Parts: sequence; structure tokens; C-alpha cells
Amino acid sequence: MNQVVALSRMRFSGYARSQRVLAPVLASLALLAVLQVGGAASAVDAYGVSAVGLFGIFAWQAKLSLDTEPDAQRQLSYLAVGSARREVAAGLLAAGITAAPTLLVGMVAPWVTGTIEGPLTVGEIIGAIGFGIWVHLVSALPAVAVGAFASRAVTRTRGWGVTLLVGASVLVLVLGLNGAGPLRWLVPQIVGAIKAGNDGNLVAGLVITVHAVVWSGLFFVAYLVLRARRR
Amino acid sequence: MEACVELAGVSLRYHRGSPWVLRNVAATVNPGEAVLLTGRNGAGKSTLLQVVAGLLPTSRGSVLNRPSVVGWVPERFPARQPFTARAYLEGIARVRGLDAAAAHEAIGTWSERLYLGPSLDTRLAELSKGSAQKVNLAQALLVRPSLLAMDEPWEALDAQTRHELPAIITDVIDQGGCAIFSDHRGEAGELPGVRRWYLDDGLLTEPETEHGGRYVIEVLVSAAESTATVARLRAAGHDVRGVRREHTVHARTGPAKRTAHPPGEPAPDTPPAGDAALAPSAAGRPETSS
Repeated sequence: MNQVVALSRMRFSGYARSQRVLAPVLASLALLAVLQVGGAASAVDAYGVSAVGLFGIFAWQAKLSLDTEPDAQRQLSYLAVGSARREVAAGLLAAGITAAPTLLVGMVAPWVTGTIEGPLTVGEIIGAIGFGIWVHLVSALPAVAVGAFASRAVTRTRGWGVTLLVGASVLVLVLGLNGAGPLRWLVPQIVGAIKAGNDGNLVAGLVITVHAVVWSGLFFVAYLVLRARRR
Repeated sequence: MEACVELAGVSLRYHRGSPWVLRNVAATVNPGEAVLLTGRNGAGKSTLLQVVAGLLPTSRGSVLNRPSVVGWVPERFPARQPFTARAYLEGIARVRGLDAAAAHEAIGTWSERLYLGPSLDTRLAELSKGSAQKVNLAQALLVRPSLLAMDEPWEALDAQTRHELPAIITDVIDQGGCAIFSDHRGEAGELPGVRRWYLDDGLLTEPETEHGGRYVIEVLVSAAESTATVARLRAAGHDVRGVRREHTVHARTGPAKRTAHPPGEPAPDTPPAGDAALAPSAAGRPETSS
């Protein structure tokens, strides 16, 4: 476990020190500015919109963090950490960590911009923060899975990686809308989470959580299977 | 004896329908053996080395008995990483499972042995080709590998480190490990007893060992043991060519010189400060020349 943590720390450090980190950070700030500045909304709507918008950013950051390490270094890391499972786990851990600062910014932004309508009681604030964390996780977990699946170690070419990344981000938005009917279950229900939040529907929230975990799990398993032969 | 690593009918091609790069390769490397992989450019040497190291899956056949600690030296070190050499080696040492103190010690040992000290705080991307290759070697050796696989390890090294590498390989195999490497520069000639594999068109052959070739082994013993050692070697059928006192004369400039004695005449006294000429690399090993 220590070796996995050491490798993920090294990978995250490599990503954070590279210039690749700048583009998604600037994009997320610009996106949140567009989404949050100048309007007033409930905490559920503000956080829901933020989570939908940040899906692509989460996935992009995960892909970038995995792609920062040169292919030859990935091979050295695999031999150093001693097993393919540990190497993959360290990569996914590092990719997951990249989502944390963005999630934090997404949580803080609506309060800084004054988007969330007030005044709120302490209980309402706690509820709003709880919903915000949940809906961002429902977005971030599948997004990291998509980003990993779109990484160079799997797709080999930049074209396929970008296509997968953009395609998944668009589908999450398009198929996530109510009008998509049953097809909406093909993607994580981030849009559906907004409705569940507004309705206060805990059962729907549980279903959406399980769906997101299973959906992410399928991508992670596919990633593991493909990475087993692609070092 | 269990093999250090065994290739059992290994075939490999990169894509379905593409030509076979390796064809039914069957070979064994035993503990304590070093193998020099030769062949023309594009013969598949790098591919075979990566298969041995466990970096490329085989299309057919399998690699058996590969040890858990594998040191891999790629032909080109991935220097485009935002770390200094020291931070990089510290990171790899921790990933290898060393704690901070052991990592520090290992980096100190290898930076001294590979003459890497002055470059340790330089960013990887700013290292010279030779220094980057030293980092490449160091990362593979931070934890003593049981299998050391190296793709053109002598490339870009300075003279000092080039001469050190055979001793490093000898250390690995003396500890019961094995080594396999390519070397188009012919530097591996300094390694006694190295096996030679020849790869051509994906087929591996091992030419007959040149039994006519012989090695000269210089052995340092204390003065008290010298007569008995000579007698033992002769009794074992070895041709003892000469015995000389290990007496290094340090000139004001130029290399150290040693004084020689006639064959059969053991040195009368113990070596003075001459051992320093062998430190640190040759200490504890026979010094060889061919």
C-alpha cells in the first residue's frame, strides 16, 4: 500500500509541477464564472449545474494526470511498484486526487459569487453543502473513470482519447436530460440528481448513487482489463 | 537449479497480421549468468529485452520464473519529467519500498559509484545525455535487482562509468541474480564468462562458446597467503603466470603504476596503500582483463 501511495504521490507531483495543470484549472474557473456569476438560484440548482459542467473538467484532469507520465516512465513505475494492479491503482488514485481541488472550487464558487439565494438557516446551509458534495461526487467518480479510459495508455492515440473524452461529456449532458427517456440510464444521472435534490427524493438519490458507482465500476474494470496488456 | 528467467516458446507480434518479431524463442538464464544479446538493428533485441523484463506480453509462449525485483534500463531514459535527479531517484526508491533513510543511503551509494553526484540537483530535462543515462542506471539499481535487463546501457556514458558497468553487472550476478543486455559498442567484452545470444529475424541462437578464448584473472591475497594460493591454483591445473607485490606508486601526475615481481616469487610484504587504486568499484571482486 505504501508503494501505491508513493507512486500516486510521485505521479500527482509530476502533474502538478507540469504546465498541463493550468489549462483545466483556467477552464474550470471560466466555466464556473459563466455558470455562477450574475444569477440567483437555489443551492441545489447552483451545485447541480456546477456538477454537470465540471464533469468534462474532472475527466480531462484525470486523463491529463495519467498522460503526463511518459510511456517509458510508466513502464519503469510498473516494475518499481512490482505489479500491474498496484501500478493501475496508483494511477487511478492520482487521477482521483486531481478532482479534489476542482471539487473544492465548485463547492465554494456559488457562495463567493452570491449565486445561492439566502438567507439560509444553519440547517439549510449544512443540507446545501451535503447536497453539493454528493452531486459533485456523482459527477467526479464517473468522470475520473472516463478520463482514465481515455488516457494514452489505453487509447494509444490522442485522437481517440479526445473523442472519448468530449463524446462522454456531451452524452452526459444530452442523455442526462429527462427527454432522453430510458437512454438516460446510459450515462451518470447528474442532471437527474438536481431533480432528486429539488424533490428531496432520497430513494432517487440512492438509485442515482448506486448507478454512478456501477457505471464507474464498469469503466474501471474495462480500464483494468485493457491495461493488463498495455503497459 | 531453478532458472533466473526462462523463455518458453515465446513468439510476439505487435498486431494481428503483422510480421512476427520473435519466433518461438526458447532459452534459459540461470542465476549467476550474464547474457549479451546481439543482432543487427531491428532484429528484435529491444523487444526481447522488454519481454524478459515483463513489459511486453507475449503473443504465444510464456516467460517463467521471472523474479519479483526486476531492474530495467530502457534505451532512452524518459528525461522529460519535472523533477531533479535527486527528487526522481527518491521517488523511485520510495516506490520500490525503501524508507526515507534507506532511499537516501541507496542514492548516495549509486550516485558515488556512477559519478552522478554533481548532477543530482539538476532537473532531469537539463541533464546531459550521459548524466541522464546514469540516472537511468541508478533507478534500476536502487534496490538490488534479481534480474537486470538493460537496453544499450553503455550508451552515452563517460569512460569512468563505462568501465564501472561490468563490475556492477558482476555484483548483480555474484549475488545470485542474472543480467541480460544489448551492447552494440562491444563494451561487454570486459565481462568474463558472458553468454552471447544472437537474434536474427526473430530467431534466437546461442553460438558455441569460444573455448579457445581465455581470461586473465588478477587475484589480490595477503602476503601470508600468497605462496599457498599459488600452490592451490597450480594444483587445480591453472596456469599461474606471475605474482607481484601490490605496490602502487603515486606519481605527481599521470596514472598510478605498479611494480611487478618475477613468476613464482611471492611478494615479501603486505600491500601498502595500493588498494586505494581499486576502490570503490573493484573492492571485493576479482579484477579481470582479457
